Amino acid sequence: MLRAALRTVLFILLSHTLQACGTASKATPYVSLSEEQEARKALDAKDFERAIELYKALIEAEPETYARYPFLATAYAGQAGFDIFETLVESVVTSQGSHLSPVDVIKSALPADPNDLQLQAMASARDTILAIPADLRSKTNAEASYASSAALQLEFYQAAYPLMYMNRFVAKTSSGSLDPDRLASMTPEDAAAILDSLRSAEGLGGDLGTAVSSVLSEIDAQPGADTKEKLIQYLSTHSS
Amino acid sequence: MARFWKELIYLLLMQSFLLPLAFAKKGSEPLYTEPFDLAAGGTCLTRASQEGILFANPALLPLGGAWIRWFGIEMGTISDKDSASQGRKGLSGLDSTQIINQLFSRSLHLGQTFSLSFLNKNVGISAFDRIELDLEGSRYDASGLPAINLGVEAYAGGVLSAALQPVPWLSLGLTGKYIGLAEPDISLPIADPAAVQANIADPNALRQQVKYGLGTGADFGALFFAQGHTLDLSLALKLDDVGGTHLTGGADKIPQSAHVGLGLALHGNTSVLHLSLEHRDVLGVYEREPRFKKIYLGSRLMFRKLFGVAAGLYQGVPTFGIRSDLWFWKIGLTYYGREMGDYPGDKQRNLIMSYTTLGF
Repeated sequence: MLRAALRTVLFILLSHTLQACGTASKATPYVSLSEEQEARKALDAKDFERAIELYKALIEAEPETYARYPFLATAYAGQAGFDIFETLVESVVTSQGSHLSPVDVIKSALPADPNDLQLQAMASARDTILAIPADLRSKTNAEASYASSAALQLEFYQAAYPLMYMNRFVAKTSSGSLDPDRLASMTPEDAAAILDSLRSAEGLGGDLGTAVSSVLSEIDAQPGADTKEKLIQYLSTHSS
Repeated sequence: MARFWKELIYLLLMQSFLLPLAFAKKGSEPLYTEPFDLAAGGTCLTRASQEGILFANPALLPLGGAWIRWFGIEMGTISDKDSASQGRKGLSGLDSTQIINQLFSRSLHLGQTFSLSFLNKNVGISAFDRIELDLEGSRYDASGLPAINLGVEAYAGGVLSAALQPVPWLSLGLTGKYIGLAEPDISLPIADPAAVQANIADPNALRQQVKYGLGTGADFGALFFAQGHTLDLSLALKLDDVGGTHLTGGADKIPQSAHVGLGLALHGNTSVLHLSLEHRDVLGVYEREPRFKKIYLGSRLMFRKLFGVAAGLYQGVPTFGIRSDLWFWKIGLTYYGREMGDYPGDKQRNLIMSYTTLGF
């Protein structure tokens, strides 16, 4: 009888053991995640829409918890198709070969032909960081753990937005040349928005600010009656 | 730039070995768990193996009933399953892009354990160490920016235990310990190479982030058991770090914590099946440790003291292990997982430990 009982218990044990095979955690169904954990999980899974929804709700509930703002900005940037990690990898790759400026490195990580949603998302990423008080998005603030990250993200997004905006006008035809109709579709308001954004990025300083300054100088040196014509001329000659 | 990345990784790894120890204990896990007990879901309050008894519950000593219950050394190595299956390629031979992609696609976890111990039915003494390194790249850890995280768990010291069995159904044990402890977590935001370069240029700045602690403490254990012809029931109660273990070097005190465990053993003359359920830190002193990490579930099956198989759930992750006892020499393999994050699946590590013991 004992042997039968042992066999029964062993069978039950083995069946449970086999069910437990594999490496997935068995605790998942029994653990409720906080909203913050759900948001972070969505971000890690690159479910940017869900991450944006959750972080926005968290920020609306506690608007002065500024540590969440950089995560929301990252989710917006992801929705815009801009991945800072890929930018960093690209910077390593390019440093081994040709010498590209920080502006070119960022451009290479941006969508080639961004749609309205992506452009709006990139603007939202920038604006989310700008909503943080200036002293709390500073590289010199050692008290707020997120301050340095927020400052760095602002540099990236301030530069990425106008570059992405410019990409909207440099679509290629099937022959590989720039589409003149797309270039001509640029309005004076578009040109003004692009240049204003570039000047904001220039004002942040650093290597990126210096590279953006160089771009502004090149645009200014182009022939043209107004800024729109200069910008179109710049895009015509600098888009390959 | 490629050299920058390699220097950064080697700097992080070197820092962990140069530092003696540091910090306050982050969770309720024992400092040392015998590998076969780890295979049984980490359960050890109602049944533990060899030197594991001294760290798990000293009240288990009298159950052995031998003048020499164990005398020997145990050595184990830990690695994540991916590294073990592909071999230790390491970072050499890879270009910089491959290094970065490898760090950010999967983590690297390595470790080793060692113990030298003597136990009999009333006393036990052991010198031990356990070091584990965890290296990962995280895309969004530094407030949304990529970061490389290095976590270290380093413990070492000595324990001395004594136990008595005043009545047949009760055993009491006490362990005195002298330990060194370090659990630094270092995060480097790689989106800011200037800040990282500053750390590389001044390693002392990085070292200042970490402090180590040495201290003495005591554990108390009690075991209530009802022993039948074929069925045993046991209830274990344990207090770790009675009164708190104070550490030097500015490290936080290890708080007193309480644990409870239930055990059921079905046995014949030569084989035994042991089932365990434990709840560590029942009073919740480790506030940041989520509850699912405090529940341990395990089973052990020993055949004629020659061969053992164990399975369980450790922090919710399935565990499995086998051990062969060849008298002077034992070998074993344990598959287990650890959750390094705050929720199931957050930062799970799937690990394999191979170990060998020499002794009797």
